[in-house]
Amino acid sequence: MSNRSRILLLLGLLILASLVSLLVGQHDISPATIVRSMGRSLADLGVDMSSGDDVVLWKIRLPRILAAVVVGAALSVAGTAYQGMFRNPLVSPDILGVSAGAGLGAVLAIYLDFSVRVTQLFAFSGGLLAVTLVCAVAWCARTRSLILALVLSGVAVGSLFASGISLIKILSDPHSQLSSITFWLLGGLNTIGADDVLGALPWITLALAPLVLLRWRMNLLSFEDDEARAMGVDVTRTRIAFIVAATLMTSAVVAISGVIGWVGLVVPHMARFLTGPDFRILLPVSMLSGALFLVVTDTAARTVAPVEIPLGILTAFIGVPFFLVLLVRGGDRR
Amino acid sequence: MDRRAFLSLSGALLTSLPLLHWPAPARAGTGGGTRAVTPIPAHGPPPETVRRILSAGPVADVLLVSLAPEKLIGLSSLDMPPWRRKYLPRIPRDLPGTGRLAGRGSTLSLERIVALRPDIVVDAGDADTHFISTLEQIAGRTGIPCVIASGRLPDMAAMLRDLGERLGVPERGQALADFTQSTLAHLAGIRERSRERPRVYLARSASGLETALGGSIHAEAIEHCGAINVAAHAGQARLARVSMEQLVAWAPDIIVTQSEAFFQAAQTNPLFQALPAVKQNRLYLSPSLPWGWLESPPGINRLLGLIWMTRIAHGAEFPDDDYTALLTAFFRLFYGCILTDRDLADLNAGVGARGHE
Repeated sequence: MSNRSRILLLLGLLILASLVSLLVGQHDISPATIVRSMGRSLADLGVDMSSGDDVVLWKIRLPRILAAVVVGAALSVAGTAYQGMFRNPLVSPDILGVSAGAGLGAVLAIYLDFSVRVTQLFAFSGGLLAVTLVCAVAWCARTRSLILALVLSGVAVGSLFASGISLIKILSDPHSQLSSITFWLLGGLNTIGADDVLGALPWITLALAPLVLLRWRMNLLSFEDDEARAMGVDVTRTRIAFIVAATLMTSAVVAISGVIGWVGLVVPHMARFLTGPDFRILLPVSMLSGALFLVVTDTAARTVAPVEIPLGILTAFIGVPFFLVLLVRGGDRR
Repeated sequence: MDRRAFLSLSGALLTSLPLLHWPAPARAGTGGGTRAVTPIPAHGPPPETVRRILSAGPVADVLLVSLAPEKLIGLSSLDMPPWRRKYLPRIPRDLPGTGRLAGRGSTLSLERIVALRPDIVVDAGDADTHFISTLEQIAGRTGIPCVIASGRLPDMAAMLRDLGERLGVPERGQALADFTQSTLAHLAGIRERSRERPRVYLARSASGLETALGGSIHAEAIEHCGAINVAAHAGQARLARVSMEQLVAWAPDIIVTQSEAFFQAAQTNPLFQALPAVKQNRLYLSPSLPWGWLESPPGINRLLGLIWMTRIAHGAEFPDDDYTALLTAFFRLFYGCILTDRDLADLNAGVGARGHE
């Protein structure tokens, strides 16, 4: 199968999954109503806010599916970028402390009884702050290898922020705030509306641009630094561009969805099994697979039970067995 | 077993893990054989020797401030803001914050407990096996007896009477228990006269999309006031997140919340504005002073929440005078605070036009 047809196939699957997802939910809407409502809105581009079905369909279900597409795609792309950059398949987007930083920001906002919007802002800034700190420390570190310094300070700063989260958990009201904190740290798309997606989208687009434009350079980064330099690549600057882009993307997503684990680690692997390591193809394939994975998972999260199954748990339950099978059956040893 | 067989076996095991409807462990508080008070060790100290009482958590704080404030040597809450203290005149100014003892995240060390020299440690909640064994360990290591008071509303009168005797304050225990019993009976009368069975959604957290399922102690005030918790059948007694779509499908008659942040956000959020309950001005922000009325902490403070919920659910059978008289009596008896009309307004105790501002 050629790469082009692989991408088209994934795109088709994503559209199919989204359509199926649009048909199911807690609020019963018959497929006929949905088709009629779709026809109506295509005809005059208006939504009838007085009809309960229309509100659920266009203001709740569709934004949530879009959110799953955006969040899944962004996490996978960020994961792919990090893995390529660190030349290490075990790296996930939180290697530089984004999740811990965003988590600390959000947990602090919940502890201080701030609104959802302020919580998102805190999470976004927390993620960026953590990575800035990590990069600053790595820059000043007296090791020869920038990557080693980044990973080490990422682990250290990540656990520092994680301890901050634990501290606030201890101080928070166990009967009200603690449950909110736990739910936030497990991730979920149940609180996301169209405005949240629209708020995160500019940042994600902004971050995606350098990744797409510099995608051929990522292949060069997989060589040893000296060799890449010999080929005329400014290794440090490229690496920083990738870090900034992937971090910005992850922060914007985590701010609206909470911490959703495993997507950024597993999906790039699935994509690599499909296409091989060429970053130019890997990027779109990973993006589409991530979106597909999260649309499917989130549809399960919102329909299987009357209450939400935390997305972070579900992605692990589906992602990890899949990952383990891939690990043993596929890969280099063949 | 070869590698492939092992793999498929472990894969099957992993995927067959039941994700949902995990059976919740049986709780002593909900089944038969409820004990209002569980002493550890079984005999407990002689009541006349109890002079110094240590509170082990927020639920016990509320209980002890009402039952035996003069014997209290520390509150578990680390700080008591002035706007809360204002309604609790019985608490001495210099009472230290000692931290939480058991449960999720202990901030009180065994050494500190011994240093505080309490005659007894009081905690509150459902006396399940893990909870009892934790306190057994603490009592065993420090030599200080502990007691667990049930946190459930139906046990409340019996619990107050029993605990009052054990702590050497039998008259107070009796007085609080009598008030509790007569209030519960009074509210039950209102409930029976009223034909209303409104369907209520408890909106927790700033997003409002977190709620308490049926049988959860957080939803007790709602379920005991003769209303129906819309999330009652969504799962076992615990907290959960729900989707906006589920909330639309439930279409509750009334939404109550204790989160100011959610209450403000719902005023402008078009999705919440489209819900029938909000359209009909039936979104209510519950009062939260000196402690939350509906929950947080889930202690005897929820008797106020039950009074408030009964007023919301059965307003026609529950006249204003009757309602404020009950609130005033609770504050005087339990918190030692004489409420003025101004205080009642400050507390946001009314349930009239609070749906929209």
